Parts: sequence; C-alpha cells; structure tokens
Amino acid sequence: MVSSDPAIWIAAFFTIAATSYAFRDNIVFKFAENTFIGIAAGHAIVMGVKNIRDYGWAHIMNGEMIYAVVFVLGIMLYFRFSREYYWVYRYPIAFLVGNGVGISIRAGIHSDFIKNIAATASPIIAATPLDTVNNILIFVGCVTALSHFIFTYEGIHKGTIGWIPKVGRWMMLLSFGASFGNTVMTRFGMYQGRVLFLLRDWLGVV
Amino acid sequence: MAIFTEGRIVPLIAFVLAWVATYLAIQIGKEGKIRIRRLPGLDAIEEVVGRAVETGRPIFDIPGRGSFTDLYATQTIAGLSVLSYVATLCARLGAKLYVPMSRVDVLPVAIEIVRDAYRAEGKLDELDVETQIPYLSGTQFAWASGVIGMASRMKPAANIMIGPFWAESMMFAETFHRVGAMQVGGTARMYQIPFFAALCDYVLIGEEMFAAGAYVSGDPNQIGSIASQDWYKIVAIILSVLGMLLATANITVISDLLKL
Repeated sequence: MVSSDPAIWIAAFFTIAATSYAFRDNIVFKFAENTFIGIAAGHAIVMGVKNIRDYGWAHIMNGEMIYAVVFVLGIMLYFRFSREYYWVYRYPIAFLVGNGVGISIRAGIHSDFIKNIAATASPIIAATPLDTVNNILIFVGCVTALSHFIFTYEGIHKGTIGWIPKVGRWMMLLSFGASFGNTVMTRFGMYQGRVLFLLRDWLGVV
Repeated sequence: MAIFTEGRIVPLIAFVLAWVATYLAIQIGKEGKIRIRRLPGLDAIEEVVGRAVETGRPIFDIPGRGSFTDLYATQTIAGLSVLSYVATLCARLGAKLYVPMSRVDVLPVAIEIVRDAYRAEGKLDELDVETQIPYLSGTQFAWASGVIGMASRMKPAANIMIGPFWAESMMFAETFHRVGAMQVGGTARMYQIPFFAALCDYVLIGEEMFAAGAYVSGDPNQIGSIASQDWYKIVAIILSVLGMLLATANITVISDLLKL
C-alpha cells in the first residue's frame, strides 16, 4: 500500500529527483540541487549560532572568560571585508593553520612513520605458508611503494634500481583496484537501500 | 609524574630529528641545490589549460573539501599551490577559470591566490570573483551537487582536482568525465585515489601532490620539506629492511626500540 506520510513522499521525490541526473541534467534535478544547497546553508547557519551559544557564550556566562579569546579571534575573521584593516584577518587564520598543522604533525610522526616501520619490520617467516606469503607482500609492497615517492633523487627511478619504484607503482595499482571494487560494492549497497525505500516504504510493494 | 611516557620517547626523538632535518633541507633548498623530478600529472596541467583555450570552454580547479584546521591542512595547502599555478596559466592564456569552494576558511585564501595570479598577469579586470570562485555549501553533498550541476551546464574542457577529497571524488570524476572534460586528479586520501586513478586522465598519487605543490610554487621552504621527507623515507626503508632481516633471525632490537 502506498504511504500516506508526507515525509516519505518528500524523501521519495528527492530520491527520484537526485537519481534523475543519471539520465541527464534536468529541471527536476536542478530543483533538488538548489533545495539541497539552500537547506544545507540554513542548517549550517542554525548550527553555527547554536555552537556559538553552547560552546562559547554559555562558558562566558559561567565566568570562564578564557572563551572570550575565541570570540575575539572569530570577530577578527570578519576584518577581511575591510580594505583598510584586512591584515587583522590574517592573525586568526594563522592561528587556525598553526593549530591544524600542529595536530597533524603529532599524528603523522606516530602513525605514518613509527607505526609503519614497526609493522613492516616483523619476521617474514610465519606459522603458515599463506601468512608467510602475506608478510612478503606487505614487506615488498611497503618498501617499493615508499621508494616510488622519493622525489629529489632521480637516480632511484633510473638505471639498475629503477625497477624498485616501478614494482611499488604496480603494488599500489593492485591495491587501488581492490579498494575501487570494494567501494563500488558499498555504493551499490547504498543505492539498493534507496530503491528498497522507494519500493517498501513509499510504494509498499515489497 | 614521569617526564617521559613509555611509547612516546621514540616519536619525540623522531619529531626532533624531523624538525632538524627539515630545517637543514630548507637551508639547502634556499641555496637552490634541490631539484624535484617532473611528474606526468603536473606536465598535464599545461596541456589541459591549453585545451580549454582551444575549445573556448571553461576550466575547473577544485582544491578539495579540507580546511586549514583539520588533519588534511597540508593537502589543502598543496591544492592551493597548484591553484595558483593553474590561475596563472588561465590568466596568461585566456581560459575561464572556475573554483567552486566548500570551506569558509579556505575561500578567502583561494580568492587572494587567484586574484594575485590574475594581477601578476595584468588581467585582474578579467576576473569576476563572485561568479568564478563561488562558495556553494559547507555541507559535503550539497557542495557536491552544486559542483555537478555547474559541470553539467558549463561543460568545462578540463577539471583539476588536487586536494583532500572524500566520497564526492567519484561523483566529480564521473560527472566531468561524462561532460567530456580532461581531468587531472590528485589526493593523499588513500580511499579516494582509486577513483581518480580509474576516471582521471592523469593522477597524482598521494605525496606526489605535495611534490607538485612545491614544484609549481618554487618555494624553497616547500621544496626543502619535500627533500627532508625523502630523507625520512630513506631512513624508513633502511629500518624496515634491517628490522625485517633481524626479526626473521629472532633479533627484535629494532621493533623493541620503536616501542619505546
């Protein structure tokens, strides 16, 4: 039985409207696109105001004046609209960039460098032949792929050792193929969910 | 409270060594002694801009959805370096550039970069910031649908996507492919590289985008950082090979050391 819930009808309409792009760009897709962008903008404004109130203003009201610094930095961002005081806006941006890079450095050194070396520097011979093959693949893949990303020593990409980065490239392409297939399957699963929604929740035929 | 926490001593030493190595590499970079090898994906950028001029169709440059405050800030910066290069080429050759943006903190920087490029080429009057560098939405799929809509209607000749991308990567690559755009994709987000590899004409894999950013910017700081990263990679290869050989012989000195 076809649903009588208006929310289901709206969701069904936008599902079909968004999917209609698969055939060609059309007015129904444009409507869905503009509605989506408009709603997202409205939602972002509401969430922005809510975040300022909950994570900033509420703390100041409780006497935690350190949060005033965040407000000052936020207000400084608006100086980009002033021709004369444009430079003020650069300070909060510098703070934001410094903060972001600082957080990523710690994670980068630990997870991308130390942990990767520790994982690769393990015994190649394992309990079963299959695990041994697996270890060889991990070791060869990791070391050769790493050599592919050496940019300032051109010699490594030429001559007698030029095959090492090439093997690394092939290893990466194999991994990309597997990852691509995996994600396509996931997307099919998501699409299947929407089709099921149309057939079951909206039309009630399954 | 202990001064040193177990499991963080080696990361601390590595961090200090990395800092020293980067500083030294930047100094060497300033002396002009470091060269970054050319990347095919980078060479393709000139080709795609030329194609846009020949066909009279616009060109898109999307620097991703990362911001300056997340873990992908470095990718965003690399994407903006490439944007500067693309904007310079577009201004010089007369191609119409579009840069649909998603992040409010990156937007003004992107505008300044494009404006500077056009100003340097004496073509500032040809740039319409509001139209050419629109802020579409901060929400992932709203932004994605906006970009897809723009691509469908404008039918660009080329699309350059270098920066951090998420699930929208395949939507973009597929849409631009469908409208006949030549594409150069690049990201260091592992899950998205396969889509670029499958659908783009040229792809910058992972760290190649940082090298590309440094190469086109010509900034000795960036070039020095790439060189220092190469040093870490060589150290990582040596430690991995040594560690594997020793561990296979039941000597766990390297793996024990890394646990400190």
